[in-house]
This record gives sequence, C-alpha cells and structure tokens, in this order.
Amino acid sequence: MEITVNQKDDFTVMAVAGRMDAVTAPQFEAAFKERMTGGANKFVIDLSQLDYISSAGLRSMLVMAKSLKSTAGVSVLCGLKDVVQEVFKISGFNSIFTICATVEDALQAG
Amino acid sequence: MPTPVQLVLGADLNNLQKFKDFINEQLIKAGFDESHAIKVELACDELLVNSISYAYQDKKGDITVQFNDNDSEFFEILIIDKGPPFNPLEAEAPDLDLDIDDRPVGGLGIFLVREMVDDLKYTRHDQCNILTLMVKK
Repeated sequence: MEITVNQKDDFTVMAVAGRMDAVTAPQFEAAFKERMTGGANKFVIDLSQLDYISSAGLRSMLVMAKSLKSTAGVSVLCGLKDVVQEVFKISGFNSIFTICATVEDALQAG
Repeated sequence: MPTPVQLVLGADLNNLQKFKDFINEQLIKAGFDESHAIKVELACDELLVNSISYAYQDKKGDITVQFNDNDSEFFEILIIDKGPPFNPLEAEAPDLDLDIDDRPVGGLGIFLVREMVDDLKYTRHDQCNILTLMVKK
C-alpha cells in the first residue's frame, strides 16, 4: 500500500493506493498520527486508488475520525469506488464520514 | 469426487496475503469475475484475521483454507484452525446507526462476511474450529 501526502491550502491530502487490510492499515494509522502530531488538523483522504478495504481499514478510518473530533479537526474522504464504496455503504460508514467524488470537491466541502 | 484443494500455513499475519492470493486464484479458476472474487476474498480476510488473532494466543499453530467444488450450486470455502472452541458468528451485530462518538472500534468483521457470501456456518469437529463459507456459482 502506498501513501502520498501533499499540502493543498490548509489541508493535508493523503492519497492511499492499493489495499488496506490488517497488514497495511497500521501504516495508514502511523502516517496519519505523524501528520497530526506535526500539527495537521484538516485532512482529505483520497481513496481513488484504493482497491480494497477490510474491517481493519475501517477501524483505522474510525480511529482517525475520533482523533479529529477530539481536536475539532476535519476529515473528508473522496474517490471511493467499487468494493470500497460498497463496504462503506454496508457498514454504515458512509453516514459517519463526509464523502465526496474528487479531491477538489473535498477541499470545498471541508 | 474431486479432491479438495487446500493451503496450510502458520497463523501469522505475514501469511495473510499468501492465503488471499490462493483464494483469489481458486476463485478465478472456478470462473468468478474479479468483482465477485474480491468480495469473497474480503469475507475470507475477515475470518482469517480472526483466527490469526485469536486461535492460538501466544502459541504457534496452522490455519487450513480448503476449497470444495462438490456441489452444483455452491462453492465451499473452509477456514480451519485447531484453537480452543470459538464461534465468531456469535458476536453481536454492530449498531449501524451510531455516530462517530458511539461507534466502537471493533465488531464489523463478521457483519461484512455475512454480506459478502451466501451462507456461513460454524462447526466444531475433531478439536477444530471450522468456518464454512458458501458462495453461489
């Protein structure tokens, strides 16, 4: 799994490519924590290159959302597709996250 | 009757991808399209992670993933470990209406499994926990 981080305005945009499962989810959590420790509080998580997510990945997303809630931070997800989109829908996670189609939409919404 | 195809590896997260690659290979061989195969793979992923996490505690042990293609309607995938009796299907279903503050961090795995396969059974036999996933052909 590859994570690419960019700064766009006052947002930290994290693009996650590949698959998020029990093996790779800790990598996402670590990357996110590192940015948060560095002071970042507004995130766009670009999942347009994410092909797969298991409950371990959902758990990491939830940990991120809970951390940001406690610091009045913001996270917006974008680019969900195929099975990732379906998993978010089935699990009800599409109602606890703000989800947009593109990074541009997410920057507007956040 | 065709011999079941199986893979036996140590219950270790480092083997998760090997199990998943095996599962994907068998599903594609059996004629599943990629979008259906990935859902079944997700179901297996969840159950494998459960077994890896809980079956053997601090000891070492194996997990067997077996494919049975004996039925005309269903494909069977068995996930077998030799840990103490544990039925993950007895876990409580998550409340999907809770918001961020109230959603617990765990509990979704089995729920996703049920959504991705057609039937799911747990049995205990010969000191083994056996999870059988059934997928319509």
